[in-house]
Order: sequence, then C-alpha cells, then structure tokens
Amino acid sequence: MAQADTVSISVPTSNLPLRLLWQGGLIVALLLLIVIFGALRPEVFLTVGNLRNILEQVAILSIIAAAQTVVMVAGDFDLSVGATATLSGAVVASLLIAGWALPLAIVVGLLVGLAAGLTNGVLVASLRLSPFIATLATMTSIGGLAYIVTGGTTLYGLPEEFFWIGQSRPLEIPMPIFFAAVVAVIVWVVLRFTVIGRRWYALGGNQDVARLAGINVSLARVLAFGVAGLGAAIGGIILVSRLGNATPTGANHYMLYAIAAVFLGMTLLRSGQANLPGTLVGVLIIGVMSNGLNIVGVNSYVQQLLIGIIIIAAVALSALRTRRH
Amino acid sequence: MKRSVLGIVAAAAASVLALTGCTTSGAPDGGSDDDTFRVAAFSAGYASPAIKYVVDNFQAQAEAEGWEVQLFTTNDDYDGLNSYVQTATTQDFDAFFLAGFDPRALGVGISAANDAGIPVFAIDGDPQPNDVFTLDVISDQQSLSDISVGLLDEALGGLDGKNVLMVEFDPALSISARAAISREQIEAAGATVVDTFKVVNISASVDSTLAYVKDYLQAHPGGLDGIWAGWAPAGIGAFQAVAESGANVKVVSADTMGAINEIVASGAPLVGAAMQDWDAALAELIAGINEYRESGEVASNYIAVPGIRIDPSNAATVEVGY
Repeated sequence: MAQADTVSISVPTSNLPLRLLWQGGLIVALLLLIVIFGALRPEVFLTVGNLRNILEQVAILSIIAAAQTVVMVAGDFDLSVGATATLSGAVVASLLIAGWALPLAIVVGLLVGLAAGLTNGVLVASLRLSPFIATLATMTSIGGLAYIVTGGTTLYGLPEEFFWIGQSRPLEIPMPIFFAAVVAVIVWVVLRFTVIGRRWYALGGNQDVARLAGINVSLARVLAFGVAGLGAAIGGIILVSRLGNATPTGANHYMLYAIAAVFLGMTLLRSGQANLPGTLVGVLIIGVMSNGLNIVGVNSYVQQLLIGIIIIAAVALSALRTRRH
Repeated sequence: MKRSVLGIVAAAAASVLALTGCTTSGAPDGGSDDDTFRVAAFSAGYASPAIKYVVDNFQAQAEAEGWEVQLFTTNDDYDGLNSYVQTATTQDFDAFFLAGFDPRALGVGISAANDAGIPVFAIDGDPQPNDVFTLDVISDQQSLSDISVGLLDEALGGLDGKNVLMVEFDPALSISARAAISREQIEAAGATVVDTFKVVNISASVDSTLAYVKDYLQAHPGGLDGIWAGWAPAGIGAFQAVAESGANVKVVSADTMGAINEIVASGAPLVGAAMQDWDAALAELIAGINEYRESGEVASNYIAVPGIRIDPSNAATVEVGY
C-alpha cells in the first residue's frame, strides 16, 4: 500500500472574530442596538409590547423595502417607490369615497402601482434611461398625480370595512405585520427558488453575461420594476388603512428608508449583493434605532443626524467590502 | 442609434405635453387691460390643504371682484419664490398677495415689493404685526391656544397635576407661536409638559407623530394624560397612536381639517380642536384690499381673526372645506 503523504494545514483563527464581525457586521449592529437600548431602558424596551410596537412600525417599510430589494437585486434601483405607495393609497381612498366596492378599489390601487413600476421598467430597460434619472422623474410625476387624485388635501371618511387591513389585531398582533411577513416570504421564495429570481440575480451580477446566457434582460428588468411598483402599492394601501386617511405625500418618506434598508442589507453578504434577509435586518435596525431613541428621549433633530450617520457607515462598509472582492 | 433617437423623441414629447399642460404657473408675464386691478398671488405652501383652500378661495373671490389674479407657487422653494416676487415687481401688478409662506425666508422678495411701492397683502404672514405688510390677516394664536388648552382642561377635568405631551413644528411661525402660548397656559394651570416632539418632516406629520407617541406611550404606561398637537395632521397622528395603544389619553389639536372634525364628532379620544377661520380671514383681506384701492391706505396693517371651537357638539356640522 502506498503511503500517502499528509500535510497538515493550520487554519488561521486569529482574525476569525474579526472576519465574523466583518461578515456578520449588520446582525452584530442590530444586536448591539438591542443591547444598548435594553440596558438603558430594560423595563420598557425589552418587552413583548415594545417588540410588537417596533414590528408594527416597520411593517409598511418592510413591504416597500422588499419591493426595492427586487429592483436592486436586478442591478437597478427605484426612487419612486414612496411616491407610488402614496399614489396607490390615494387612489384606493378616492375610489372608496366615491362608493366603489372595496375589492375593486384595492385591485385598481394595485394596478396603479404595477403600472407605475412597469413604466419605470420601460423607461430603464427599453429606452435605456439611467434608473436614477428615470425614477427621479417618475417620482416627481407620480407625486404630482397624488396631488391631483387627492385634490391637494386629505381624503377621509373611508368605509369601516377598509380598516381591517391596517387596524385589525388578530391574536393581538397588528394586521400589517402579517402582511409584511407574507410579502417577505413571497419575495424571498421568488428570489431564491424561481427562475425569474435567478435571472434577476444574474442581471445584478453582470448584464452582459446574463444576456449571453440567453436571458431576456429587458423583460426581466421591466418585471423587476413592475414587482417594485406592486409592492409599493401594497405598502401604500396598508398605510392608508392604518391611518384612516390619505394625504398627497403620506408615504413619500419611505423611499429613503427603503433604499437605506436595502443598502444596509447588502453588507450581510460577502458579495455585497442586495438580498431579502439583509433588507429585513436593515429595516429592523432602522426601526429599533428609531424606537430606542424615542424611548430614551433623544431629540428628534438629533435622531435624524444619528440615523443618517449610521446609514452612511453601513453604505461605506458595503462599498469597502465590494471593493475587496 | 434607434434607441437613442427614440429616447430623444420621447423626451421631446414629454416636454411638449408638460408645456401644454401649464396654465398659470411660471414666471410673471405681465400684460392685460390697463383698468383691471391685477394681483400677483404667491405661495410656498400650496401643497398644504389649508393654504390651498385659502389661495383657491382668494383667487375665486378676487375674480368675482373683477380682479385679475396670477398665481405663482412653489413647494417650499424660497429661492424660486423670491425670484418670482422680484420679477413680478417689474410686471405692472397692482398688488401682491402672499399665503403659506415664511416671511423670514421671503424677505428678499418682500423687500423688493416694498421698494417698488407695491402693496403686500398676506394671510398667515407673521404672528406679530409687521410693517413689511400693507395688511396681514392671521389667525389669533392666543385664541387658538385658549380654545385648545381649554378643551384639554375640560377633557381632563382640570390640568392641575396632569402630564401633557406637546407636538410642535419649529419652522412654522404660527405653529411655534401658538405652541409657546399654549405651553405657558398648560404650565400655568399646574400641568407638566413631560415631553415635546418636534416634527422634522412636515409632509410625514401623521406617520412620525403616530410613531413617536406610540413609543412614548410604550415607554411611559399610565404616565400621560393629554396631548396637545399644534396642527391638524399631528393631531391625527397623535389620536391614531392613542387609539392603537388603547391608552386613556385625551388629544386636542390647535388646528383642524375635515378629517379631524369627523374624528371629534365620533366621540374619540381626540376631544376637540381650534379651527382657523380662513373664510373670515379672506373676507377681512378682500375688504382691506378694497379699502386700500379707495383710500390708498388701510386702517390697520394687522388683523388677528379669532379661532372657532370645535367639539363633539358642533364637529359634525361645522364645514371646514378641506
């Protein structure tokens, strides 16, 4: 029997904790926030009620951020998600006030979001406009449409039957949390286990290679934007139901936080690619930060400063990691 | 090549559509019948339902008087608005009307109007008398405070010993003014202002107030008796937070809108509001402009219009208009 030479290879572990921190920095950051706020106000922060509070507050952001994730997986991004959410919610509200049946009004609201998304897709994929320019422009126009639909005012007097979407509490859990969970699971399954999901990842990796591999790049990009628009519409409709009214700018501010959450989530993967689990962790970081700072009584002006700094740090980290690979 | 040509064509088509869609927005163009009283109306807050109501009604009433009104609006863009005002000083307008603006941010434009001898009429200009205006008609912030704090006092069975959270927005002079007056009243009555939430993004007032108040209620169970909100969307957000948390907290708003009145009428924890009487303010303003046209001056350059109390007894019947 031939003697096989064996070679022992020692795996360097001295930088392992650092590697883990580098790799799992986002989750560590989330845990750190929880520990800090938990230490500052344990009797308030670390309670079931507060956890439910945080989840309820980030539910709509989760949905819109999940929609944004799809677009960013495909290598694009969408600045109009907030405005689309606002418009869809406003359309549903105006139809309900006009006496339309609830299911039909919701379907129309969803179709409005889908149309907005598909418009973005056509502009970007077919007309080859920069996603930034195209969605900045559509964000502006969609924002204007929201003013037109609402007449520049707050729409109220919505039917009671509409409120279960945003205000009911089955098993004492706010309904928006259920919706957010369902949307997150669907987006995750689609991205991870379906052909279109793999195609979107391929696009996000390298469009030219994806094209050479036989993927219809234009169609896939259009679909990604369509999904983003649909997701934004879902978020906007839930928001209107929760608040009981629709304003011309109600969901516009979600755009920035949705993009921030996706960028935060990108630090979770070595490749620096957008991913749904990372996005959700990013959403939780934003929610925990906001909730924790409110609970310990930090001035809202200072909160803005801190949230911006943390987002910058996370995006910079993501950029560093991408460069290293 | 084909795609870039298509892109250029699409952009050109969009531009043409946008231009054909424009009516009165844009730089002043001047030119009309010499005898017609021409008013240039400016607003940086047309996106606000209340200001839109004021501006639209001013335009309608002015045109009913036989005046010609040209409207210039921006969405909080004071660089643009100052430019519009400055340009308008060279376009033979007889008067300027301002609504929904910060006089500190529009100082350059207002100075240009003063230098050109063009009378400046304003609604909701400055909570204090200000000589830059020929006439400024504003809601009486003392009245709004009296009403809102009074409603809270009644709802809580007295303010003495109670804990109150206030919701404010610093950049708006009127809201700041009534917040300061209300704070004094609340504290003078023996209550403690346990926290102040200063909204950062006014277009997200409902959402941000909802989140903050819910977090506060979570952090201080049983530690809050009342909430004073300085303007209507904040009142809605505060009410929604209280309703969701089930806390025994009363909410009042120092401003109203249709949605608020609907909630008050339902007997909800939002127990009342102070309504700014924009119709009365517009009537005073129109009368002031006519007085100026006849005599070249107005009796007083500052009119404070009292607010209207909204409570469950009248919330269902008082029309707000927005």
